[in-house]
Amino acid sequence: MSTTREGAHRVRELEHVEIPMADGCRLGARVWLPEGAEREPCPAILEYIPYRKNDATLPRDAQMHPVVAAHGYACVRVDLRGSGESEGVLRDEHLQQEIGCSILFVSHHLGTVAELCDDVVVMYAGEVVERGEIKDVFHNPGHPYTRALLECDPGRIKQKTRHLPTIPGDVPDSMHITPGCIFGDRCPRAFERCVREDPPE
Amino acid sequence: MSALLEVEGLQVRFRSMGPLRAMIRGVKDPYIDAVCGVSFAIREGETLGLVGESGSGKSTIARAINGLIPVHAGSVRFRGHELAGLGARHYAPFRRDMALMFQDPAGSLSPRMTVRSLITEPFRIHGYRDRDLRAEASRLLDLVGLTDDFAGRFPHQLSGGQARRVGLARALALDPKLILADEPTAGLDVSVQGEALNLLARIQDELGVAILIITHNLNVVRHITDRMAIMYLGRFVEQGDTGQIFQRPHHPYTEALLSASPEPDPDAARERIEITGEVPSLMNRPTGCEFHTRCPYVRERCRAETPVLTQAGEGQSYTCHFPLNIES
Repeated sequence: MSTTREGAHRVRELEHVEIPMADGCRLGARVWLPEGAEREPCPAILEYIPYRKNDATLPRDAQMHPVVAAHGYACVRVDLRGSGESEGVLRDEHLQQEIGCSILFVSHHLGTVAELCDDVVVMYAGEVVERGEIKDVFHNPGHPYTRALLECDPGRIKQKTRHLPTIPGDVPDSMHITPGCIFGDRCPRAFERCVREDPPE
Repeated sequence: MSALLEVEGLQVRFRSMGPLRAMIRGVKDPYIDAVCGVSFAIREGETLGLVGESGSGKSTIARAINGLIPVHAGSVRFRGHELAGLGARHYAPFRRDMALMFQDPAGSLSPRMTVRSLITEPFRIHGYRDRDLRAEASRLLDLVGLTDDFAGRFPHQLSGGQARRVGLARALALDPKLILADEPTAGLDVSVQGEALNLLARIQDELGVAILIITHNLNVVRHITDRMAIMYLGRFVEQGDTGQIFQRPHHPYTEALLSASPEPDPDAARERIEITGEVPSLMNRPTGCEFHTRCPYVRERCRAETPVLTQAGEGQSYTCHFPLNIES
């Protein structure tokens, strides 16, 4: 362990720290701490990729980390599960089991959304048109836009075709939004009231 | 239909370090082979899909065909003419007949030019001075389903789908015989993606243009290509009729790749064939079959012996010692 002084904080470098995960797996890490961080939590810069703790970029970055830490940010280089000095099996990078946090996943790929997500929010022209659990929304879409979008996915079309389904019309100009349902002018099921009133959630 | 483009043993290399450093380190061959020994043909009016992981060399093939990067070895014959080794001046007339469509249409359109000047720029570049550019712009906009009002707009005034139409109009300006489309639908929602692909199909029906399409989206490949090729570390591991490959992949990598495509059904059973490990480095290629480090069916022979290209009838070919779905 070495201590340097540059900037506002004294810095401690911990060459080997074991971080226990929720499932008991221990990850090896190298940490640069502004002194006092144990008592008063500080923001941290996390480098989290395979073989990070001791990889070839260490000599380069090791000059930078103490400076960053001296300004009050902890720096952590962690070996991904199953790599370097971490336990476990390296199955893939950045799994939820390691991060253990929530994910907001923004995507056009309906297949990936169906597989990865628990809940889904469907947006159209700046408005949320439908939200719910992934199974409910994908199996029983309530909003005509959701339904049309799902029908357009070439992944759902088993028979080979050169003419893929689309939603006729264009997204409304966001500078000139007219009253009524935002999807009204492209909706195959629109009726007079859709043009007049904003539908409630 | 005759072959429009015939690629034979194409090899593209990039320098991995400068000549001085190579000399100091005693490296005799400071190159990496981004594409090594790829052969295929595209007939007139045909669509070939090129799939494979990022970094497998797909875009490099398209750029080598277009002459943007030099061919190290092998042959690229276009309409019967050899293009490999041609200088820029002699390449120009052939480049007119092949058009590139880029991944990021908004980024590939100059923000300071109007749609009209963008789509007629190819005429200026190739020195067609006698053309009525205003009339050509109208014709091209009409071809890709945009109204004349778009001619005066700038790229930032276009939606993602419209920008792609403009990109296609620009590609079609000189009436090409071959379109090289690199991820033409990346970043589009499925409805706009459908529009873009339907447009491409209509253009193909009307003009008889051939298309080489590079994409990660296997659903797109399944619907719009006639034939497909699967790349791994700069080589084709399998190629053939798209329908046949989806039905009966012979190479384990193809099988794994096809099974990795997520289905838009939250209840879909995940029968994914997991490929373990990472893509090997091009600087340090595995011995024998280059897929053996990740293949779920690997056997002893695969580590030692390089498999040869094998024909499986009806134009399907693969490189594997122990192919799948072969009736003996």
